Amino acid sequence: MGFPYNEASWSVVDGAMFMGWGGVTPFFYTLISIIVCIVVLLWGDAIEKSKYKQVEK
Amino acid sequence: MEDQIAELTARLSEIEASAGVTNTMFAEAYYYLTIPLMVLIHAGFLAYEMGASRMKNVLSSGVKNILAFAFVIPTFWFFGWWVYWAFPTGLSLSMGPMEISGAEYASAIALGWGDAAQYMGPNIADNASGVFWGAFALFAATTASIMSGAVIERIQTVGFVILAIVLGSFAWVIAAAWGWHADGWLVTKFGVHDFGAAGLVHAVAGFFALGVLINLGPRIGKFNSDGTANHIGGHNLPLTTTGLMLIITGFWGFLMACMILPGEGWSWFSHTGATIYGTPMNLSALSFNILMGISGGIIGAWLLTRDPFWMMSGALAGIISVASGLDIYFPAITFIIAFVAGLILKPAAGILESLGIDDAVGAVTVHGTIGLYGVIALGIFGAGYPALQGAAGEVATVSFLGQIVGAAVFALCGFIPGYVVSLLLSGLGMLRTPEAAEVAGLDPVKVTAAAYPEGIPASALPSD
Repeated sequence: MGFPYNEASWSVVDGAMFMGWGGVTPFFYTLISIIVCIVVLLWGDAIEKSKYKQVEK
Repeated sequence: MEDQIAELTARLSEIEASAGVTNTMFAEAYYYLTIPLMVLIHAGFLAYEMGASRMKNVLSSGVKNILAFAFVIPTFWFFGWWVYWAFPTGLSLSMGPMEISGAEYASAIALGWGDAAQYMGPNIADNASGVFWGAFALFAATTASIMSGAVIERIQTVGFVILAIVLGSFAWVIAAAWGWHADGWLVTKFGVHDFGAAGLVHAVAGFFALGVLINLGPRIGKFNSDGTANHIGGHNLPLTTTGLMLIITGFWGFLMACMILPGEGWSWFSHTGATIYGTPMNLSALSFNILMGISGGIIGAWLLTRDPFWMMSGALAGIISVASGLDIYFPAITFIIAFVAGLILKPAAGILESLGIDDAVGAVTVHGTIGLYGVIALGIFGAGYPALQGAAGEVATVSFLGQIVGAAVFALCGFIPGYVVSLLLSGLGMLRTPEAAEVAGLDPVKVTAAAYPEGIPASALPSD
């Protein structure tokens, strides 16, 4: 990813300064974050269902 | 002489620049500090609903509430903030007259990718986006927390989290775009005024909860075969009461976050604060009216119930009932409106219960019913106030009819998605816990910790 400005110096920073600014990285990490949330919910639901099955036996 | 003038001019520029930096830093700190204050609302709801749960469900209620916060924040970052800026003019997603709305505008400032990402992360030239987003994210978390208490002791965790996301990152955001934005069609066409979000946060959340409760059904043992209701007491009323006080404390942050500060590029005015609609106001108005609202609500509830739970609920209802007009009410009017809210609180909850709805903490009543009452009350007392900058005739004015339209839209913005999504979840088997789990208690079934591993013993006697 690297420093988001041509020159790696704080003196040239005048705006966005997060990692990946100006490239596709923000989209990539946003997408991963969304997928993490969805997978955790699916996984959590499966675990919850298994707990309910145990108590119903 | 010319040298002296040039020196003075340079000095003046330095002072102006310094004052500008001070104002910017103050504005940034102001909104930043509303965020931890609003976290207190969430802490309050956490204590409130854990106290209202029976011992076998305490931690399950807590886990659910914490997860609501955890999932609403990122989803509000993913798409909730975009929804707020995209939808003010309605489903057309077109730009409104203030030119700060519509899909194109939202896509330029409120997405986590492309050029818009510069406003959604660290940016040394942008002291506003992060703190505004943070304050709105906490408004969003508040809506989910309101719904959370109503459904305790029988809702599945993941199903609840999905409902929290729909409410916190979409349903209330639509209502806010329509009625809490200078380009919102409810504001520009009907003159809707809801400064402190009585309708677009509280009523939306309350009616969303009602939609969910219809599909979720009551807790086992709540109603008898003849339809009469049993009281299911929580395990810790002091915890619940303290939670309510925390919520009220947090509301000072919530309401101060509703004011737009002066003197910045995004400000409405250079000399005074403003509502989100661009009408003038200041914090002194809030100070007068919040305190009078709390007091009126407590006194009204005490008169009718003598019950600390309802008294503190009355305090909350008092604030909510006057939230729409906190910027313009006269304090004595505030007190009267809030007093009536405190009076009608318990009877309204009783009517809901008589309809077979098991609202474990009174969320539908306190937030839904009282929220609508507050929006409509402003239509009576505040009729004629211009809803936006400008004079009556040039812009819409507050009216009884307009506030009724706003109240109806806010109720539907909550109820419809709450009912539909919970119905879908019910069909997928993701809404209600199985009967065996509910009877056994949700903590022993699915929580890996014990709330009170040593029980709750009586205090030990002092040593001799």
